Amino acid sequence: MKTLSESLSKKGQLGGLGTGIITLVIAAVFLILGLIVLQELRDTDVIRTSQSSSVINETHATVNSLTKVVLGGTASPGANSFIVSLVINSTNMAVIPASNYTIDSTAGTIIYSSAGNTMGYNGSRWNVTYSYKHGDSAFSSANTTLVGLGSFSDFWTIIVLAIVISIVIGLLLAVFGGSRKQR
Amino acid sequence: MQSLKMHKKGQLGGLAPAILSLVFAAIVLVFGLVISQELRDTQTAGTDAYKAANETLVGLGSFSDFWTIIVLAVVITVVIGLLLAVFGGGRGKR
Repeated sequence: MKTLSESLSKKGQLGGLGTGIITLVIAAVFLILGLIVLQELRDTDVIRTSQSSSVINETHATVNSLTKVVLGGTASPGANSFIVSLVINSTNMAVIPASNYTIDSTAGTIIYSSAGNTMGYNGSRWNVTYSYKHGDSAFSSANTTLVGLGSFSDFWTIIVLAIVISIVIGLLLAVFGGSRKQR
Repeated sequence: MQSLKMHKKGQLGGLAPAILSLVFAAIVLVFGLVISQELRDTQTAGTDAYKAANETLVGLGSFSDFWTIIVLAVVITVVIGLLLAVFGGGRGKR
């Protein structure tokens, strides 16, 4: 009659646990490095800033100091490097000085700034003229690829669970059901 | 001596190469899209050549919509393979 240790070592399920974990770790490292490479590739200038666009007199209602107004160009894939060249009050067509607003050139937002609050433009309707850079189909696809490959990380738990189930059930079968066919 | 079944089946051992293959394919795809885009931009917008190149670029780019399902197929292969190795893998062996 076999002992428990004999059964375990003969079947080898437990002995493969370390190897299985090493394989998982290597696979995870490959995945993360691959995602980093893809992300860097997506953010290269030739992909992310391949196109330039400009918008003239884009109207935004109620620009105030409380909420950042998102410029329409942000809808373009990978939009960045926003440069506002002219802001005018859409009611009286007066030019609003740059000291009355703050631009986030990366996020593409504009917000009223009280630093130069001498003309009462807070909460009024603004016409914004600006330019920005953005990607094209290559950027969209690269981004979708990055997200799609990244979805692999959602499945690590189920892979780990499958390994654990394999080892646990394998051990139980080795001890309680493995001797049936052996001579 | 019978080694660990999951290694004999190779499902788990194939996980890292599968991920490497996915990453390699993704990088090749992105580079291919960049080349296609640069080629397209050599043409004047609105011309037939530009339109055809753009449709090619968009068509190639639609491959990226399927990464999720490819990843899912890899995961299913690994997980089901692991479970089959324990529950059903020994039936055909002598």
